[in-house]
Order: sequence, then structure tokens, then C-alpha cells
Amino acid sequence: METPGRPGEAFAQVLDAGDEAFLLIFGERLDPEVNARVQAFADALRSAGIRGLRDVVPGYLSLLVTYDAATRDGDELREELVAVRPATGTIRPPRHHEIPVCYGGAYGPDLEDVATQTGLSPEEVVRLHAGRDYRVYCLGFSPGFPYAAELPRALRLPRRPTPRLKVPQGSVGIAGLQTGIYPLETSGGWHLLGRTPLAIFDWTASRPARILPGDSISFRPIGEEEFLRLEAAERQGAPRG
Amino acid sequence: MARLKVIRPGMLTTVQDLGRQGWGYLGVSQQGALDPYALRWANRLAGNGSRAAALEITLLGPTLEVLEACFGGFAGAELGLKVNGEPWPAGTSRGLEAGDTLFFGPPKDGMRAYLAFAGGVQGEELLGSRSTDLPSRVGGFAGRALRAGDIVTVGVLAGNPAVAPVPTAILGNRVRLLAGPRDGLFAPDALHRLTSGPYLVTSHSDRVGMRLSGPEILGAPGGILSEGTPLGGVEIPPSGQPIVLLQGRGSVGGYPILATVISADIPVLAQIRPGSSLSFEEVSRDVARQARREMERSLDLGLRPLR
Repeated sequence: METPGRPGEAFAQVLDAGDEAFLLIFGERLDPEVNARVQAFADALRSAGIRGLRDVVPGYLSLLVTYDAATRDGDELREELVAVRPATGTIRPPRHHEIPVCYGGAYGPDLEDVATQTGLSPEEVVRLHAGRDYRVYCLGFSPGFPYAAELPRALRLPRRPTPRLKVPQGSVGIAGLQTGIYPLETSGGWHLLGRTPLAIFDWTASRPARILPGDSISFRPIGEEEFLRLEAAERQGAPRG
Repeated sequence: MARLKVIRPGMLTTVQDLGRQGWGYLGVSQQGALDPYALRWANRLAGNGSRAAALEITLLGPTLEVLEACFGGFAGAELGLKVNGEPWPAGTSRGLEAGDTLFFGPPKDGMRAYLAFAGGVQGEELLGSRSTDLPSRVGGFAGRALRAGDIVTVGVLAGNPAVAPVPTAILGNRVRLLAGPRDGLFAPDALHRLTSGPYLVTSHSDRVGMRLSGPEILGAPGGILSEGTPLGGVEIPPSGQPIVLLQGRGSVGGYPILATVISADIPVLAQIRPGSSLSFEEVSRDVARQARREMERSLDLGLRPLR
């Protein structure tokens, strides 16, 4: 479908999102290949040196490009976007992150409930959740929160009927076909299976997010002892994994 | 540095500048002044560049005691600001002495105003902005709204009292929007229903968005795979009741956006109170471009000396 080098063929459509943003549509269905093209185009756009660009925000299948309408004419910018060639291979190679997770108990208050609802044992839920790699399609909801997919079919549940007002930092949750990590204490409606001691977002670091869109993650079950040890090491500023 | 003591915090008083631009791809919310037009006037009146932070005041303002002399610019809605009992009108600047008390009486019109100080309001700067991000509890003053007893630090520069040549709040109950980005996912009459309004702005509105009540937009897809959210986007949740996304929105969202308010009318949204009506008018890109050009031209007009 994509013919590199021909203008505008990296994405299928440019949609107006007001007079200070365009939404570039790359596909219609959840597809790692479509998302890889989103990320490659985002990288290409960032390095294209286009004047007046404010932000380039990847979604699962789309890229929101925001600009300053005080200094840029939208019609001219649209022409420039269409002319940008997608990077051949991504400029920034994706990284894999293995996330240690202490499952169940106070760390994962919904593990038992998820087991009941899916008809699995808690051990099977952990084995299925930790047993594969997930693609990080985009970040959002809260700074650094990775929207990762796809969850094994046996674990797919709708969100909790009532969101929690406080989800502890580092909580690992599932909802629908997605899994994610809460980088900060926030409210949240996902089922909480466990917690990671790793710092996922650091406002003052030169690279604030540990995990970037396009990266992949997997989960490694750990015990409470290792959780506490890793948590203490993170507080002392251990080098990033 | 000069200081002001918070005697009463008001309804919601936060430190805001023009927001965190360029970090949405990391899931960072834009934040910043809900009325950037009024903020820019407040900073101009205070003699600041456009990047300085100010206090965003929401409907019921704070009571502040000036501890050291400083110079302030006030712009946006007329929220009843007085200095030692004497009115300080929006769109003007003035010097303040130690012992002065800033007090907000009953608000006259609009919803938000900005108090800027020469040299800027100090606060935690993260990713290039001092804006308070309330859900993340970072930025500005300790990542939260002001409370009684807080000490706010500002610059000590002096200035010349001046008056803005135009009103610094744009008031109205009708905003213009462009169709899209996701109008294609809706029934053909959805945009017509949205512009048939009026809608009521409900009390569940906040810095994230204005929750509306009025003609339901039916047949909207229940949800979409998360994608970037534009400022002013009118998203349609399964209830069919629109939400207009403001500067405090998340960087991505899972409800389709039917239409997007034009950039020149974002300041109008910021001044509409809960309980008021709001209606939408669909316009062309040319109208949006012209409206924005006029707004920028107005912001370039010179200040007039006060008497």
C-alpha cells in the first residue's frame, strides 16, 4: 500500500483538527505495522525542521500535528506535510523494556477478581500477562503512561464499572485488549494486577519517559523482597534500564 | 524578589503561562492559561514577554496581601478586583506597595482573569513551562492551587501604569468551529445537530473540558483507538452529550471528535460560566484564518499611558 518516495502515501488522509492541527490517518484497524509507520513518520517530521510545528502526537493509527496559526498558514503547512518522506526504517530504533512486577496481594488488588471473571487461576492470569511482548502504541492519559497491546484474549475484560480515585504509582493494569503502567498516582479504571518498582516518568530528566511510543515491553514476575530492593535502588537514582 | 501573602485562596487560583508545548508525544498535558488572549494582555501590561507566568483567577478571586512593592498588570474578566477598596479595572496596570490588599468582590462578568507581575510569577518550571498541572500535581506553586497562608514570589521591577487599547476579555455565547477531524465517523446530520444548539454549560466543567447538556449527538461510535486531542476539540462520549476539550485535557483520548473550535474563539470559551448557554457556528478555514489574524493584530496594538 505504501510506496516510499511518493508524496502523501505514508498516510491515507489529512483531516483538519481546527485551524491549529491536522490529524494524519495511517489506518483503520489495530495493526502493529500501521503503528510502526506512524512512529517512523513522527520521527521523520521531527527531524524535517518544519517551521512553526508545536507537537507531533502519535495515536494507535494516527498522528496529531499541531502548529502555531499565528506564524504558519495551514494550507502551506499541509503541502509541506504531504511532501515529507517517511523515514526508511525508524530513525530511533525501538527498545525493549523488561518490567519487573510484583503481582497480586496489596500490589495487585484486582488479580483475584480478574481470575474469577476470566475463570482462570491467579497463577494462570500472571503467566498469560507476563508471557508475551507488547507493543507500546502511544503514551497518554498521564505523563509516560504506555498504551500497550495486545492482551491475550482470555484476559480481555471491560474497564471496572467504577474507577478508583487513587491508583498507586507503578500499578500495572489491564482493560480491553490493552495493558499499561500508571507512572504517577492518579485516578484510574483499569484492573490492577500488580506493581512495578521502576520509575516510569521523571519530570526533571533530560529524557523524562523511560518507555517511548514504538518500544516494546514485557513483564517479569518478582516477589515482594525484590520489589522493595529495586524500589530502594530506584530512589537512589540507579541507572535506567 | 517581592512576595504576596495569600489570605484567602479564592475558588481556583493557579500559576499558568502559555503551557507545555511539544511534549504531548510523551503523554504530557498542555495546560497553561485557559484564556491565552487575556494572559498575553496581563503580561504586556506588566511589561513582561509573552512567556512569563501569571496567576489565573477563576470567578471568585483570592485575597492577597502585598509584602514588598511590585508592579502588576490585570486582564481578562471583570471579577471585582479592588486594591485597598479602590477598583482596579481589567486592562490596566499599576504599582503596588507593601501593605496593600488585593481583594475580589462580586464578579461582574466573565469567568477568568490574570494577574501578572513585572518580572513574572515564580514557580516550578518543568519541560519549559511554569504552568500548574493539577492532575499530575507538578509545576507552578507546588503543583496545586493556592491555599491560605501561601507566599507567592514575583519580580520587583517597576513599570508605568497603562491601559490596554481594547477589552482584554472576549465575551460571548457563540463560538465558531471547523468540522472534523472525525466528522466522517458520525451520521450526516451530526454536525447540524451540534450547531442547532444551544447547549447548557454544566457545573461538571473544569480545566480539562466544558461538559455540555443539550441536543444529543446520536449514533456516535462508542469509542475509538486512542488518538491525539486538539485544543477546542468537541468530543462525543457514548452519552451523546458533547465535551469541549480545553488546555487541561489529556494529550490523547478515546472518544471521536466531531468538530474543533477555532483558535480565535478559545478565549471566548474560557469566559463562559457554568450555567450559561453556548452555541456553535460552523465556519470555513478562511474565516478561522481571518479571525486569528485579527486577534494577533489586536494584541500588537500599543498600550496607552494611564492619565
